[in-house]
Amino acid sequence: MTAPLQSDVATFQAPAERGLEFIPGQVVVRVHREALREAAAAESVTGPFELLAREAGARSAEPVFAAEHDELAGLTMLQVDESELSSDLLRRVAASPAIAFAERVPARWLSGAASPDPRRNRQWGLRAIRWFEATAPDASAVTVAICDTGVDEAHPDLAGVVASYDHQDAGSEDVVGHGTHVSGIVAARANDDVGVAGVAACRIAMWKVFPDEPYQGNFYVDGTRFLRALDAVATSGAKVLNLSLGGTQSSQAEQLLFDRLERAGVTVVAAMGNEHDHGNPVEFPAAYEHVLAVGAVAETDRRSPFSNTGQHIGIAAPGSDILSTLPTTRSPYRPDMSYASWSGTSMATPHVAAAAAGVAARHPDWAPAETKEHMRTTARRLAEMGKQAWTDAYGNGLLDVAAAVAG
Amino acid sequence: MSGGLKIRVKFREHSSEDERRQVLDSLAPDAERLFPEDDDPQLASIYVAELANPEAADTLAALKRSGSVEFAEPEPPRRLHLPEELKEE
Repeated sequence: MTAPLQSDVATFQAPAERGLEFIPGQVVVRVHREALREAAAAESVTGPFELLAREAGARSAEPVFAAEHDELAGLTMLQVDESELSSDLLRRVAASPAIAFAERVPARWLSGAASPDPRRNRQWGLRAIRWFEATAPDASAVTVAICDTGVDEAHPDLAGVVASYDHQDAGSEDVVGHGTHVSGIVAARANDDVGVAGVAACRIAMWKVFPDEPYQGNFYVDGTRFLRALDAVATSGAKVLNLSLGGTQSSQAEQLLFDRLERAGVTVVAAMGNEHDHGNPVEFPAAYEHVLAVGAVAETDRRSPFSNTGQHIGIAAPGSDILSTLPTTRSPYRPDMSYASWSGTSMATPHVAAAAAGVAARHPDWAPAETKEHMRTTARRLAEMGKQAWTDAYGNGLLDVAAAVAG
Repeated sequence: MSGGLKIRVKFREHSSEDERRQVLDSLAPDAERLFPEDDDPQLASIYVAELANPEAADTLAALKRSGSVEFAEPEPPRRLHLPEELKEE
């Protein structure tokens, strides 16, 4: 379980600018020292904590200070579901005779200091694609479409990023979290003192094409909804489409839609797949004409062991242990909330989608074929590729966003 | 996912509405247009249907033989590329 850390949220910027007064999902409770010593008071101590667990999903209650710190004994920090937290609940917790107070943790900041995204130093992928060296063009007018499991629009790191969200008759919640993770890799707000940085400061248009329930252990798109989403993307004005999904059978109807997307000026990037050790199949849509297929590499600059290889691969991008956003609510389909590091060609693909958004911002008149070709020719050749310009494991090499968006 | 076979049928764009309806009425009467609001000839000629087993394979083959059908295909499964961290052991 990865709970939000205090350092993940605004600590350096005035709340008036951030609109953040409290650390999301954190509560501090003070138990009276006397109550701690009296066994008879055990129920009055445990009751309030059980109340927080029951009504706000409290977990990982930890003493703030060591037991020998008698003066400060009883101060306990809890992680709770932000959405379930209310003043009324805290009042009821504090009503116990064993509890001195229960309160949210206020945000604190240093005047005049500046801080980048607190978790950025764990984003090895940004270093690998030379994100820090990039002179990024203004991509705020560029939209990356994503067909996935949905997105947590309320995530603090995605505030204002989601331009549209089509979930039709499905719920808006991203129960799997996959779409929110992909979205964060593409466009999590950078330099906002919160969490992580996305590769591009672009907008996201999400089409939820997966159901909330798995079928035989995996999530499958509704084919009709998927094709209609592809058509909607083609007419949406989006410049890039990210697809972190696939299957081994090709489809003439799908190819027809991808042809339309190409004609509509949409650069489509798709994941190679994660079945290298399970037959290494050719997967679609990655293998369709007009689609840029993306493989994954680890921090070692070597192919991630799961990443499929094949003749259709175009480029590689970071895909192992990629830290990004997750929904801030709990779900039975994932152990983590808020942030987590995940591995897959699904995580590599949005690096490329975001870079394509940067290229589209720099060269708004380029056709998708030019954008894809440009990213391939500016990719960094890896040592594992030997002297070859292309291999079936890495395509033309590792995405180099600095070179791709250079003026 | 349901038990039947979901299919996609694309008619040749010059085929008439009557020709299409005749083929579908005999082989897949529940078929509906994939893009009902779209009048683009390419998109307006695609239909989706769900065929009941066990006749589905024969019906699909018959659709493919029709002179007014450009292609007929089963809907291919498309699944999420689950991150390694979410895969069950």
